[in-house]
Amino acid sequence: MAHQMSLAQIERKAWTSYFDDGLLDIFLGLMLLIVGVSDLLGDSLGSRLWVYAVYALLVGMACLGYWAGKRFMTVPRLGRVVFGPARKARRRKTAIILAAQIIVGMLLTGMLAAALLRVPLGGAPFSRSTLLAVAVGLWVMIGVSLIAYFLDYTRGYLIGTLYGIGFGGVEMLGNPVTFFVAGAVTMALGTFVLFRFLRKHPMVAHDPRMREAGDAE
Amino acid sequence: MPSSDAGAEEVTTIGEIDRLVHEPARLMIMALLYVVESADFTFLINQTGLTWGNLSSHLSKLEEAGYVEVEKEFKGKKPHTMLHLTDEGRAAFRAYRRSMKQVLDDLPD
Repeated sequence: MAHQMSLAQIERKAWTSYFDDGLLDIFLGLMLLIVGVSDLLGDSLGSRLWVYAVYALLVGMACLGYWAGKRFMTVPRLGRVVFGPARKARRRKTAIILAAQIIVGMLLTGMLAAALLRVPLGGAPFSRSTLLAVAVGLWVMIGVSLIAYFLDYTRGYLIGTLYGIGFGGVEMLGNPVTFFVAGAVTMALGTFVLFRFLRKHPMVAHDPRMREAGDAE
Repeated sequence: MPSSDAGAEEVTTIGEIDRLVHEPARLMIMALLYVVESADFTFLINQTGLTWGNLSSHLSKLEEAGYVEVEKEFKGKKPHTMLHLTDEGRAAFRAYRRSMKQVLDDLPD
């Protein structure tokens, strides 16, 4: 048993243990794959609306899978906890920063794209699409990394980089192959973490006294 | 036991430390419950490494002292037990931290 008395460390350890299941990594990897599939579908379904419908269906299924994984794999193994107001405030801050980052990032990238179309690059060793790809990649990477920072989710920095490569690569190459590569790597990472988690945390044998008291979960 | 000049009535001696909180397993339980709002048995077992029996026994003592409250709630049709520190428990933990800090700070180098 650990006897460290740093309360901040105790709280952080409890919080980060909920990322040890790799489910968020798998979910984020899936999201990249779904974006890739939607991009690949293009107008092949006849109408763009159908593509959006398929996209929404796949995202819904990924969200359902994430919820079910947490509900039936993580919580029975790690238990249930309600974190304190400081952690809740940090989560709210994450949501606000993410929303602001998306809006500001879209504006900046749009402005950069518009500027690039006007400014002659002359003999520059890079093309407009390369510059735009780097800008998009950086924007996505910074966004995911900010979430990782505010959630104390260390692997999020690596996933942020993969997201940056995924989105930047699509801009540069003009096809969604980097979505699939980055998504597959992220999912592989999450699957590895999930297997390690399942081995490390077998289902807890319940105390008979608790069962008598009606605690069957 | 050395004492500080000011506020003699506030000086804590080692003998006055709350032994209920001081026991390492209970200290870990209280520290965990102090940093969260509430948690269940499984969470505490995972975080402390205690067995069901051990945890149950320590929680009973903390509950008897009025430091921990056991709350039965329903998740759908399933009953579920959540535990949280009472105001008295939070105050006891804060007092324990303060006392220990003072006792250790007063020790000569």
